[in-house]
Amino acid sequence: MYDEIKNGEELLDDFFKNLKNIPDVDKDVISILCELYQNDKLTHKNLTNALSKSMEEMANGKN
Amino acid sequence: MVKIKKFSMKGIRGVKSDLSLMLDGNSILLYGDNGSGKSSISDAVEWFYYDKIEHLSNEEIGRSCLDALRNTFLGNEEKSYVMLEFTNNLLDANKNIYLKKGKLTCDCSNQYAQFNDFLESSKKEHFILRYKDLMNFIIATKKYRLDELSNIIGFSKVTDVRSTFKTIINDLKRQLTTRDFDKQISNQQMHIIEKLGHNITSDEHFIESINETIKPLNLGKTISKLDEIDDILESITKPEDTKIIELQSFYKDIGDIVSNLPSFLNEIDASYKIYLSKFQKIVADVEKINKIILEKLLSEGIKVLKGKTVTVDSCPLCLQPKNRALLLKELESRVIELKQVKDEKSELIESQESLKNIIDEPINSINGFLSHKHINEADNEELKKKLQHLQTCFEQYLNELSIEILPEKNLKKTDEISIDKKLLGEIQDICKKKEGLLGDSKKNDLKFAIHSNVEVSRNAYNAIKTLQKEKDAIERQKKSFEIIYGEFVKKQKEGLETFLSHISRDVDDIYQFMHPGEKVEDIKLSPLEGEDELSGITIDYKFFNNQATPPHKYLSESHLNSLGLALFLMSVKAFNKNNEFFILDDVISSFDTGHRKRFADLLIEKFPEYQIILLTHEKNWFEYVNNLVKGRNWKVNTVKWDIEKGTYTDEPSEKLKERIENKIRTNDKTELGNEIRKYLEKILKHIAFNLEVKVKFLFNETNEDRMSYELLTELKSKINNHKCKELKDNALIDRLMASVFFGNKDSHDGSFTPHIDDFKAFWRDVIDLENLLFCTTCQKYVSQRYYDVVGKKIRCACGGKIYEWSK
Repeated sequence: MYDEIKNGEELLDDFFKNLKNIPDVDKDVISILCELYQNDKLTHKNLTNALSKSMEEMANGKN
Repeated sequence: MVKIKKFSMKGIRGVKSDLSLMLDGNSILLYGDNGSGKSSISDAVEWFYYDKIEHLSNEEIGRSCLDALRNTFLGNEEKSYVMLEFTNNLLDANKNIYLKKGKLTCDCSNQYAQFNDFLESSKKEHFILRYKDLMNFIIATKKYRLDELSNIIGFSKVTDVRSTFKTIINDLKRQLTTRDFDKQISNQQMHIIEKLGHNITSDEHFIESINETIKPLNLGKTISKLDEIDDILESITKPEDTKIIELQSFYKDIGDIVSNLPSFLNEIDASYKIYLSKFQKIVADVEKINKIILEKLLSEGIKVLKGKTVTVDSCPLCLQPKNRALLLKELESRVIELKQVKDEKSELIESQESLKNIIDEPINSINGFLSHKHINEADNEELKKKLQHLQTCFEQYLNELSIEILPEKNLKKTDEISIDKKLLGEIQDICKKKEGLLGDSKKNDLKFAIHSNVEVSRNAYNAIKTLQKEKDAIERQKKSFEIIYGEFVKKQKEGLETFLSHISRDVDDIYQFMHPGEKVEDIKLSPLEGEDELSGITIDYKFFNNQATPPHKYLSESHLNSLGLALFLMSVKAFNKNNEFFILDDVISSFDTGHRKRFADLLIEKFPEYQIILLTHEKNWFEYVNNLVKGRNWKVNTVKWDIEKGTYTDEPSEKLKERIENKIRTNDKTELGNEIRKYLEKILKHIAFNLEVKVKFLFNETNEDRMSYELLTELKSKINNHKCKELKDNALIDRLMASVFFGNKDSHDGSFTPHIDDFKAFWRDVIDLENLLFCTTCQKYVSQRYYDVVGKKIRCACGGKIYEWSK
C-alpha cells in the first residue's frame, strides 16, 4: 500500500522531469535548473551564479 | 528484510555473564520483574544499531556512553559484547567493548560494506519502543512532527530545494530594489534630454537625432546605423580634447553610480540588522557556541578521515588506536546530532554571504574609480578623499561581518556604522561641478560641444538598452521562479498529503482495533500551513462525533499510549525496509486490563509476519500472551537477576542437556543433581501440557514453580485413568519419583552427598521418560491434540510414538 507514496527523491525527479511543461516559465531558467539538478549541483550559490551569467548574456544580446 | 536468529550479550548494562536468546527468526515473550534487567536487551540492540543509547547519551554520560554501557562488575580483561546473527548471515556481527591502555574502546567484527550500508539505512527505521517514548510524537511540537515524518520519506531534500527557490526569489526581488533600474534609466534619459534636447523613442529616432546634431559641422556624411557613431566621434575628436572628454565621462560615471547608492544603503542596513540579531542570539548562548565550535572540529575531522591524510587505524587528534571506519562513522553521527546548531550557523553564514554580495557591488565600483588614471591628479584630491571615506564606510560592514562567532563578541549597532547619505550628496556635487567646469572651458568650441553631445547621448542610450535588458531578464527570472515555486509547493503538499492519508488510515485502523466503539474515531494527521510554508503536522480526531485536536486535550493516558503505539506500529509497517522485527519494552504499563488484552490480540492478529520481541514485567499479561502464542512458534522465557550473574535468562533445554551430559562424562558432580532436576521439570511441563495433566490450582507466582514430584504424581494418575497399559506397566515414573530425591537433596540439603552413579541413574530415567513421550522424528511430544477417537489412541504429530488412551 505504501509503494504508491513517493519519497523525496522520487518527488524531485518527477518535478524536474516535468518542469518544461509548466507554462510561462523562461526556457533558460528551466535549462539552468535541470542541468544543476541532474548534476546534483542545485545549491543556492550555483543557482545564483548561473542566473547572473544568464542575465549578463541576455543583457549583452546573446539570448 | 531480516529477522534475528540469535542474540547474545555479555557485560552490557545489567548483564554480567553471557545471555543468549536462540530465536531462529521467531518471536519471543520475555517476562522479568522490575529491576531484573530485561531492558538491557533493548539497550544492547539499540547500541548495536546506533552506536549509542538515546536515554544514556547526554552531556554528563558522554555521547558514546561506553562507560554507562559496560557492566560495572566485569573484570578488566573481559570483553563486553553484543552479538546478533540474522537470517542473512552476511550481516552477522559482534560489537565489543574492551579496555585498551586503560581506556574503553569498541570495535565491530563485520567490516563489510554491505553490513555498514545495512546499519546506515537501518538508522532511519524505528524498531524499538519503550514505555517512556510512547507519547514522544503525540506531545511533540507540530514542527517536530513535520520534521520527523519528512525525514522518514526523505523530504528534507525537498525542503532544501524549496528553500533554495524561495531564497532565489528574494534575491531577485532584492536585486530589482537595490539596482533601482527605473531610476537608473531615468538618469540616463536625463543625460539624453540634456544633450539632444529631447527623449529618444527608437534606434531610428536616435540616428535621426545624431544626424541632426552633427549637421552644423558639415562633415559631408551622415550615419545610418548605430555603430557608425564611433567613426563620427573619431573624426571630430581633437587630440587636445581627449583628456577633457575622459574626465567628463569619469565624473559622470561617478555621479551616476553614487546617485544610485541610497537604495543600496537601505538594503544594506536592513540586511545588517537581520544579521546582527541572528549573531547576537547565537553568541548569547555559550552552549550553542561550544556546539558550533565542536561541529566545525568534527566536520574537519570527517574531511581529514575521508581524504588520504590518515591511513592508519588511529585518531589523528589524540593518536589513540581506533578503527578508521568506525571513527568516521562515529564523527558522522555526532555531526548529525549537532544538525540544529549547524543549521542555525548556516543560516547566519547565508545572511552574511548575501550581505557581502550586496556590499561588493558598490565597493567594486568605488575601487574602479580610485584606480582611475586621473584620480591622483591634484584637482581630484577632494574627490579622492571623499571616495576613500565612502570605501572605508562600506568596509566597516565587511569588518563587522568578519567577526568570529564567539562568546561575548559584539557587533556595532546599525546606526553606528550606517553611511551618512550627506557624503553621497557631496560626491555628486563635486562631480557635477567639475563636469560643468570642463564644459564651460570649451563653451565656444562647437566641435567639442557636438562631440560631447553625441558621446554622452550615445553612452546613455546604450546604457538604457542594457539596463532595460537586465531589468527584463531579472523580472523574467523572478516571475519564472515564482511560478516554479508555486508548482513546487503544490507538488510537495500533494506528496505529503498522500503520505499522511496512508499513515492516518493505518494509525486509525490500529487504534480502532484496540479501542472499538470508544467514540474516538477518524484519527488524521494533517499538514498545517503558515503563510506559504508548511509549518507542522497536527493530529485531529473525532471525539464523541465532534472534531478535536490535539490528542492530549481529551484522551486519557491509556488512550494516548494506544495512539503512540499505533503510530509506532504504523511506522514499522510502512517504513522499515531492512528489519522485520521490533522490540516492545514494557510498553503496556499504563494500559487497563481490557486494552492490554486487545493489544496482545493486535500483535498476534495484525503482525504475524513480524518477529516481535516482547518484554514485560506484568505477570498477568505475560500469562495471557503466553497462552495466546501457544502453537505459534513463539519462544517464551523469563529474565532474572541475581547478585552473582547479574541479569540472565532460563537456559534453553538443549544447552542444559549438553552440560549435564558433559558433567556425567567427566564425573563432575558440581550442581549436577540440581541441573538434572531442572531438566526433568522442563520436560514434565511439556508432558503435562500435552497430556492435559491437571494439577492443583495455584496462583500465578507459584504456578511456574511446580515441583517434579507433584507433576509426576499427577501424570501417573492420568495414565492410570486413561488405562494406558504400556505406560502404566512401565516402572519408570515410580523410579523417577524416587530419583527426584537426588535432585532435591543436591539443591537443598548440604549434608547429603550423592555418588556420581546415583546421578547417572537419575539422568538415565529422565532421558527414558523423554524418549517415551517425545518423538525425535517430528520433534513433538505425544499429545491429546492427536487423539484418535475411533482407535482410542494418542500419538505424536507423525505417529512415530503411539499409545492406547481410553476416554
